[in-house]
This record gives sequence, C-alpha cells and structure tokens, in this order.
Amino acid sequence: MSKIKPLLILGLTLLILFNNWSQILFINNKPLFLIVVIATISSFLYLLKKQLHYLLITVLFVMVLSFYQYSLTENSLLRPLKQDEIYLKNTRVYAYPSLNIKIGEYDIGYIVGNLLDGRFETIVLFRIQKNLFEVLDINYYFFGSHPRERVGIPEFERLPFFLLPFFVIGIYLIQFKRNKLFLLSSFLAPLILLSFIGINSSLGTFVMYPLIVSVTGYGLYQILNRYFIVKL
Amino acid sequence: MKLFLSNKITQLIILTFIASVLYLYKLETVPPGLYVDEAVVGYNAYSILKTGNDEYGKTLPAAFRFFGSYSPPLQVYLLVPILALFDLSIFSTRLLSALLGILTMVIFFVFLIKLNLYKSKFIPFLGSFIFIITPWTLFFSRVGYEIMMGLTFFSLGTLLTYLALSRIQLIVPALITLSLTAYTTHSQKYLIPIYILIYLVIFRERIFKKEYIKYLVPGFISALLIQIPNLTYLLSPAFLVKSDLFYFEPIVKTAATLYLSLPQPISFLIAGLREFLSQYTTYFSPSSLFLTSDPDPQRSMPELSVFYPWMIIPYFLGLYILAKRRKETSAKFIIVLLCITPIPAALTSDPFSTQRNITILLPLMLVIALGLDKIINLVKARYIFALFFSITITSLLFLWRSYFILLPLERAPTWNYGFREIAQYIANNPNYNYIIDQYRIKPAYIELAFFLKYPPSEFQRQVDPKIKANYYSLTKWNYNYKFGNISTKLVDLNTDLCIGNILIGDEATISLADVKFHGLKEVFRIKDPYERTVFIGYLVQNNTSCKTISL
Repeated sequence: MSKIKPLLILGLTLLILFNNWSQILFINNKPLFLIVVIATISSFLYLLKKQLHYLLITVLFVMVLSFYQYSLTENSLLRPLKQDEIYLKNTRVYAYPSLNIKIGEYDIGYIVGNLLDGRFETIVLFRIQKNLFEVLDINYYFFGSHPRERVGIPEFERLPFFLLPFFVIGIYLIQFKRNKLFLLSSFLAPLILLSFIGINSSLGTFVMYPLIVSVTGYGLYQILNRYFIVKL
Repeated sequence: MKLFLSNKITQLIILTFIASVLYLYKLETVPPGLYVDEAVVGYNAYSILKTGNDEYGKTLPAAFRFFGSYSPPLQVYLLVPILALFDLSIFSTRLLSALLGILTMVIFFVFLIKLNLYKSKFIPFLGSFIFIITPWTLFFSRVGYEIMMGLTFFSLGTLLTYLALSRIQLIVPALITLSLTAYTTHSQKYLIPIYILIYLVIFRERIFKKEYIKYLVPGFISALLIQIPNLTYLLSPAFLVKSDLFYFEPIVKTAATLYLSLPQPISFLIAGLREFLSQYTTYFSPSSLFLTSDPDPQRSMPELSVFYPWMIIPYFLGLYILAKRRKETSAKFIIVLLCITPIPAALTSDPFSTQRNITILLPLMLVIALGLDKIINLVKARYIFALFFSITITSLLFLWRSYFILLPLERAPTWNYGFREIAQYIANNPNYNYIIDQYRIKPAYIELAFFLKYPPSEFQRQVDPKIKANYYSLTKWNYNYKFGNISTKLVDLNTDLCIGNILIGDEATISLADVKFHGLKEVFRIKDPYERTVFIGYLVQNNTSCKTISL
C-alpha cells in the first residue's frame, strides 16, 4: 500500500502532463513548459499533502507564469473601436427614447444611452466581462471551445475530454476553506489578470494550466484511491 | 415587513402584477414583426377555430405539419379560445405564452416554498421576482409559439412528482400532466420518458410500496391513454422528423481527424461521446449562460445572455451547496432535473439552443435561488434591501436596453418585419397579382395568410389535396403556394414579367440593371427601424416575358 501511493502519484503526474496543451507549450516555448510543469506538480502535491513549501513553489511559479501570460497575450482591453463598432455605437446611443426628464441640458434617455453604449469606460467594462466568462468556459479547456468555436481563432483541445469528470470531482472535493491561499494564488489572481488582458494567445491561458491540471489529477487520484487502492 | 413575508398571497399578487406588466407591455410590437413560427401557430389556431381543420384541411391533427416539422399540437389548441375572444392578431397569438409565463412563475414560487432547501423567508418572493425578470423567461413569455408552454407543463409535472414523494395521491395528476407535456414541444417528447424513468429509479423506495399501487396504476393508465393520439402516427415518418438534427456528420469528421488511429467502431463511439459531452456542458458553461446566449439571432437579444452576469455568483454558490447537500431529497430532486434536462438538446447539433432546452431554466433558477439564499444569510439584514434594490435596478436597466431598445432596432429583419406592411398594401391594392420571392425570405405564404386573415376554408381548398390524404407521410415541405392573388415561389424573370404582376423581394432579388432593362416600377419599399430595406415591390408594366400568371 505504501509503495502503491507514490507510484500512483507519479503515474498520474505523467498522465496529466501528457496532453495537447503541454505538447504545444513544449514545442513553442521550452522554458515556459518547464515552469508550467513545475507549477503543476507543486500544485498537485500541495493538494495532496498540504505542505507549505509546495504552496510557496506554486505561488512563485504562477507569478512567473503571469508575467509570461501578460507578455504573450495580445491585450485588446484598450483597443480603439473599429469603424463598424463606432457606427454601431453611434446608432445605439441615439436609439434610446426621450423620456422628457432632463438632467442639466440632456434628456435622461440620452444620458442612459450614452452611459450604456457611448462611453469608452463602459465598453472596457464589457470587454472585461467578456474575458472573464471566456476564461471560465469549460468547453474552452476540454473541447477546444467546441461546439462554439470562436471566429478567426485557431482552437485546439487543451485537455482530453474524458478528464472532464475528474476535473469536476476534483473541484467538488477540494476543501475551499483549507485551500484559500492556494485558490487565491492559482485561480483568483490568474482569473483577474486574464479578465484584463483577455485570452488571445496562441498558447492559450496557460497561467490557469497548473490549477486545471492539478485539480483534474486530484479528482482522478481521489477516485482511484477511494475505489481501487483501498481494495488492493 | 414580517407581515409581508408571512403573507404569500400578497406576494403572489405583487409578483403577478410585475410579471403582467413585463410580459404584456408592447407585446404587439416587441419583438418587432411576426416570426414565421408565430404566424404558423396563429393561423392554424385561427383555421381550427373557423373550420375545425388545419391549413391543409386536416381535422384536429395530433401533430401539425408546420413547414414539415410536425409540431406537437397543444399550443395551437389552447390558442383557439384566446383567438375566439380577441380575434387573430400578433397580440392574441403571443398572449398565451405571456399567460403561461406568469403561471410558470407561480409554479416556481410554490417550488421555492415546498423544497426544503431555502432558509430565508424572503427567497420565494426574491427568487420568483428574479425568475420573472430573467431574460430567458421574459424572452419566451413574449413569443407566440410553444416554448413557454413546454416549460410550464414540465414545471407543473415535476412539481407534482416532487410533492407526490410525500403525498402519493398526487402521482396521478403528476403523471397526467407529464403525459400532456409530451404534446407541448418536440424536446418534451424525448425528455418526459427519461424523466419518469430516472424519477422512478432514484426515488423507488418512496414510490414503489404495496399500498401505493391504487394510485400508481390509474396514474400510469391515464398517462398511457393520453398518449393515444401520439401513437396514431408513431410509425409514420412524421414522428421522427427531427432525427435529422442529430450530429452524424461532426461525429464522422471528429472520428476521422482526432481518433484516426483507433479501430473504427471505437473511434465513432469516442467521437460521439465527445460531441454529446461538448453539447451537454455548453448548457452549464458560464460563457453561454451569462455572456453569449443562443447563436441564432432570433432566439436571443443583443448584448444580454439568458441570465444577467451578476447571477454567476449565486450560480456557482448554489451548485456548491447543492453538491454538499446532495443526499437530501430536495437536493437530489434538483440534481436529477439539472442532469437530465439538457439531454434531448445535447443530442442535436445546434450549440446552446435556448428553445430546445428551456426546461433547464427551472433547475438552474432553483440553483441560483439557493445561492441567493446563502448570500442573504451571509449579508446583514439591513443590507438585504440595498442588495435587492441594486440588483433590480441594474437588471431592469440592462433588460430594457437589450430587449426594448436594441432588439427592435437591430433584429427586425430576423423577426420577419415588413410582412404586415406588405399585407396592408395587398389589401389596399387587390387588383394586382403578387409574387413573393422565396430564395432568402422565410415562408411568406403564412405571414400573408395571417395578416390578411385569409379565410381558412378558401385556403384549404387551394392546397394540394394529396397532403391531407398523406398527412403524416408527406414530410417534405416546399414554399410554393398560390392562394387568391398571391404566389410564393422563386421569382423568375423569364416567366413572371406579366403586366399587373407585382414582384416582391429583398434588395438582392432583382438587380437595378434588370429593373431598368425590363422597365419595372418600384411601387413600395419597406424599411426596418434601422432604415435597412427589407422588402421592395416592383410593378411589371410590360409583357416582356410572361409565361405563368397574367391578369
């Protein structure tokens, strides 16, 4: 039994690291691949053993990954509007009906229209919102965004789809209260970063890789441990 | 406040008032125009009312041959008394869905009271209020076809099955309602047997008791008897007409690209599983639920998905609580609903179809209410009102923007805007022959029959009699119709240029060069609120190439 567990952990580590996403990272950027692997293994081991040094390694390497992500992502948050977007914006602003209530010299209908559709700050807020939900899309990670592939963006299946149930189990089994720091550093911080910079990177949102892969591995480990190893 | 929270009737009256305002306000004009699916329901109900037959002359069919889709019939039949009261119009056609939307809210309200999951007394009111203003509910409460009816019957049936766990007598009305649900939409035909089966398996210990047989047997017999009309055409091609929506092609493509190295049966199996799971998970994806909605512009509103973005917080929180409390009967019940409702829609190739899977709205809203309940318990009492107020204002503002401002402006052509104006022109100028092009335009015959209130008995006389004789086997539908002075077909400049014909199409139907060459005269041009041309009518002034129709 004591010999089986380390072997299981090693086997799982190898299994979860051999996927499309890691191959693409390896081919395109070897140092980045190495950082991703270290961060993932330390995350996985932290989830299993709850030892502080694994958490510190995770935090450190996720920080490095964040810098990589920032530099390798085409940030379009403050991108000026294109011609067709300007036309749409202007049409929308003037579509709001007059409510015959004025604040200063403007009708409240126009003020609301301008607030919701005219101001660049609002457009930036909508872009952040769009980025946030795209990062949280499970299909992006397990099905290459299928069946809703994004137009003009080459999609690839980051992780094999049959690992999805283990990811869900992993999420369920993580004790959120006991893993606050881990989730803050490997989920919340990358999530905020990606919400601002977007996901337009040919290597994907690799700053999330350690979390997703380690949680998947954790779910798989728990299932194997609970239903198979106990019987051995 | 305490009095308000304890008085459920007052709460329901307030909620019904809010829902009525939201679902009936500008019902005639928003969505703009009348979508063909609404027109076909409205006109067939009108036809049943006037003659007892549908547009093809078939007496009380078990499924309506709408454009070859053989839709379940309940919406049409329940619309008949409404048309008898209010006559045929856009408002009356959509009114049934609005009333059903309100009824569904009431059912949801009862769900929130009866499920033993919610601690806060404020939740039935707050949850039902959120249910009313949720874009998904509002959208389908204002369209004149069967989607909301599917949700209403399914919600009622599932509520009764839940209540039957503690009062077994209710299993009889529960099974009857669920059996009737199979006559609401195509998806329900597949969902209901799955639901009943899973329900009986999961809750078998509470259902299958010797002393309960006296309720179970009549319940099942009634449910089966209700299915007799469906059984009458079970073996005809009409019953499985939607099977072409299954994704054979993507499976073959995926098997050939991703799993080429595996033996063929295994690669097909894996590709099929992948396709199913990808479709299935889309219905839980935050991206679909809170950001992008249905890719079909007719089934969505601009810049707003099926839920408001802020709902992601109670959504995740609710899912987490549900998983933690999974052993409780109420939680188990919601999990069953959550897991099975996307199955029929996930078997079709349309990604995130808000129509086919509207039933998932029920468990998702129960989950969101669970999350809200947790938030209310975390927030101090004095902040709850501020929270409720800010959520309401923000949500209604975005709803107003997307549904009442942007939708009529940007989606008018999608909603077949312009046919009312064409019908008006035809009614005012009856001495011409009208040919409506069908190359890009949605089925025009039904729109014009609807707006002109064309006498159904005359319409039925002009339809090919073979269709009535082979109603459930002639599934192939085509757009060529001729009734009165109206023809719908592909406009052909080699045959249709007869004096007195008016050719109607969009901007691309007849080129400007052809207009000049043949001496056609523009007699009307219909524009949408965005100032885009949707229809142009050209009068033929010379018999240059007239082979089909002439005055």
